[in-house]
Amino acid sequence: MRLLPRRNPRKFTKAESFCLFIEGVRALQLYDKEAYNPQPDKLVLDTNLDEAEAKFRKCVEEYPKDILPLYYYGIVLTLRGQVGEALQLQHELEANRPGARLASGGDEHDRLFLKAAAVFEKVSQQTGGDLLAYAEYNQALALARTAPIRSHGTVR
Amino acid sequence: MIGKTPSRYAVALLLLFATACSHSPEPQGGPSQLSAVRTRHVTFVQWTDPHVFDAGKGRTGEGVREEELDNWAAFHWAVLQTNRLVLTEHRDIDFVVITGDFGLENVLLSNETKRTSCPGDKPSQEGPIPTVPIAAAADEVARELDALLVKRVYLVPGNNDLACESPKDLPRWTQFVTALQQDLADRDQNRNKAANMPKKPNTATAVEVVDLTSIADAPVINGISLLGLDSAYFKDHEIDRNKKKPATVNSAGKLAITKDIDPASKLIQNDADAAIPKEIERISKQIQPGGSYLVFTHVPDLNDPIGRSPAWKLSDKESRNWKNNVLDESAVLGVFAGHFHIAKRDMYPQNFPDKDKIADANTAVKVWLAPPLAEKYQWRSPPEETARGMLLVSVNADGQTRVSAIDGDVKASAMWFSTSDQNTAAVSVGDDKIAQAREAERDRNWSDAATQYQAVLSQDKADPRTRATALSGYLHARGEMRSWWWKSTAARWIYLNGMSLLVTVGIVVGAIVVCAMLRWFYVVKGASIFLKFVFVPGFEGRATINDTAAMTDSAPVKLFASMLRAEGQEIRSLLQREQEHWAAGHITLLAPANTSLDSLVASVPKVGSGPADLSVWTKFLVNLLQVLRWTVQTGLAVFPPNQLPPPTAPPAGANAPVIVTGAELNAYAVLQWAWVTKRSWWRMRTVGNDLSALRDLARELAALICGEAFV
Repeated sequence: MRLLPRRNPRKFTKAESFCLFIEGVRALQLYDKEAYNPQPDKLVLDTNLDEAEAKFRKCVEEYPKDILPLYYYGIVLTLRGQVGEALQLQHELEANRPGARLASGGDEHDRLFLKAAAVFEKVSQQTGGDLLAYAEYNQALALARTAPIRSHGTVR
Repeated sequence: MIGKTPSRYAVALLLLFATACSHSPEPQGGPSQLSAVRTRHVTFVQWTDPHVFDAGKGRTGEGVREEELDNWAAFHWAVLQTNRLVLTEHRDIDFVVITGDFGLENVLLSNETKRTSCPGDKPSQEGPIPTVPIAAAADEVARELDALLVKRVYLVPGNNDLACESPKDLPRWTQFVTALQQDLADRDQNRNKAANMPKKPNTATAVEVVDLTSIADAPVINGISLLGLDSAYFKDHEIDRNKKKPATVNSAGKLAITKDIDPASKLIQNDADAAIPKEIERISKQIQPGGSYLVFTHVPDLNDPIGRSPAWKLSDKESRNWKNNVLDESAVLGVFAGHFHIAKRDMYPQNFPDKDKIADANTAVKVWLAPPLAEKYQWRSPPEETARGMLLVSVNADGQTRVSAIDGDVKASAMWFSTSDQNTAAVSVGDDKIAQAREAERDRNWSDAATQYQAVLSQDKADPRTRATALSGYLHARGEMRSWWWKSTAARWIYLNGMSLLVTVGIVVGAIVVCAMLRWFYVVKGASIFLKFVFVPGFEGRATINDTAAMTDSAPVKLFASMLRAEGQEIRSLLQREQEHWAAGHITLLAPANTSLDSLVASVPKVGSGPADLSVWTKFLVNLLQVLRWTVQTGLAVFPPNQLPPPTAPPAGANAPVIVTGAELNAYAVLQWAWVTKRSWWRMRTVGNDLSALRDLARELAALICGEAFV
């Protein structure tokens, strides 16, 4: 049972928190923009994703009560897991060893997915409304990406 | 914040020191209290012969009622004039004494149905006014006395307060005094009840009325005892019915003087003859050697100025008793009487008719006459020639004169009442300057006081009372001016302002201590936060960005301000793309200063002129409203790098660029509502190979400003 009222997810502890958050969003949108490019530049993608992760992580570390940066941090972790998973799959295809992921190399991606799922779980506990639905959806998605599916966290 | 606090203290200090340099206002004159106890000194006011209940005696027609109104007017005046002496002239009046003749002979006791008829009454006469019950009479007098600021009133009866002037009618007087005392007590009690205050005994809110002729222990004021001699029946009562008959010649050829004394009047005379020795003995027994006594009575031991006959009818023995045992006693300082109604102002207070013929020296010196309040016998005189009013008396019992102009222990002066024109007759010439002088005295500004008193003395039309007061004040002021501390400028300043300075220093020290304590307990900070919480609206992202201030020459402030606004828009776009429309709606309202509104206000047509110009007021109101909003003040400084890059030729017509590689950009942003600052930020960037540092700076500050809307 929740004793304390849910925190408004769109409230920030300080203006500096919002500043870090908006910088992270900017980097994430630049990443998305490059990702939708037919010929994306990997360096640009990595740079923007790294910057977004750095900004959100810093924001989460310095202002742990702010929910929106936490949610976006989970998004970035999921994206990182997807990228690693895609690269692993590409590597397996190039080596003509499909399914090898299950045997080796999947731990790093799973760790990111599980970390993202934990972050979304934390967001779910702290918020309500539309962000709660988004967090639960993303948590389920992150857990679904792990192989085999483990029972980390509670999918509601 | 650090810079504001000392300036606040400085303003407070300036204000407080400014007050220290001005004279502190003296308290307003209130109800009179006993004068400061000096060596046997009293000041009092004597009223006599109001005749408010037997007015109109000897008058006919409308004159009867007219005299009643006039007598009441004089009684009102006596109250107001006495209060004026307290309030305006700041005199310490110790008591008021009323030496009889309210006219109670025309008042009905509770067991009476009509006025007592007396020997010599003329049945055809129209006056006096109709009788009133004694309770009503007491109530009417109580209403007047209740308004007095002097809270001690002493009474002695007059001959017209006793029916037929008989000593056997003294209960009439006693009942009146008792009813008056009860009425005044009731009025005070009701007043306290109305004010929801508990009854406080022995407080000066109620007027204390004492009959001096009926108490065993004489009241003592500042060492001077007050005695009341009941002379109401001291007159000759015998009525000779042959007085108006032609004289007859006897057998020896001489005029035969035969008297036919009215038997009723003879009875009254007998009663009086029996009572007089007791009364004189009562008084004489109260006089002790070494004491100081004032005797108050109604009828004086003088010749009546109208009939030229003695006012007292005493046996030789009682005359000697009076003179030897009372009047000649050195302890008796004065005898204050009334009774006479002659319209000669020169006669009062001590210029008696046939004064040079008065054999007894003490009678000539010690007896003082107060002018009557009533119009009786003076109604035929022009108003300016009447002699009606009251006596202001100052008595010293130690031989030192208070008014050095005239040697003597008693100083008395008449104050005149005039029916026709209160303004000119009641207020004597020079009274205004006396009041100014007394105010200067209260401020202890002796030089001004002396100047004002001197101005009064130079006025020939000032009456003797005013002149005596002025002379006394002048000498006192000059005496003060001869003091060493008045001659020394520094000492005089301390004398005049010392108390104010001490109080001010105390207030300043107290204020500093209180401020320190408040700061110690974070009360000031808490109050500041509370006031901001109450009066400053929450910031919702709607702020006007004012022009950026250039803190160094050629700082690209316009470019920076544009970037700041653009970054605000960019933040909105970012949030909208994230479908955070709620948040985006908040923060994209960073806007430039509203120049269009300014130009609209400037174009308001002129209506009216001067302070009534509506356009000026409209502009003022609009500008005021514009102040009460969220604004962002920004500033930009560009510091050159330590090592300047190799010079490059600027384009023709352009200045050398200031944003060069290695330069340091400093920018600040202050978010404020009206004059209240909510947050401020200072950020710094080092310029690289392009203008991205300036953009980053603008971006960060824009994000910080917008972020305040979500805190």
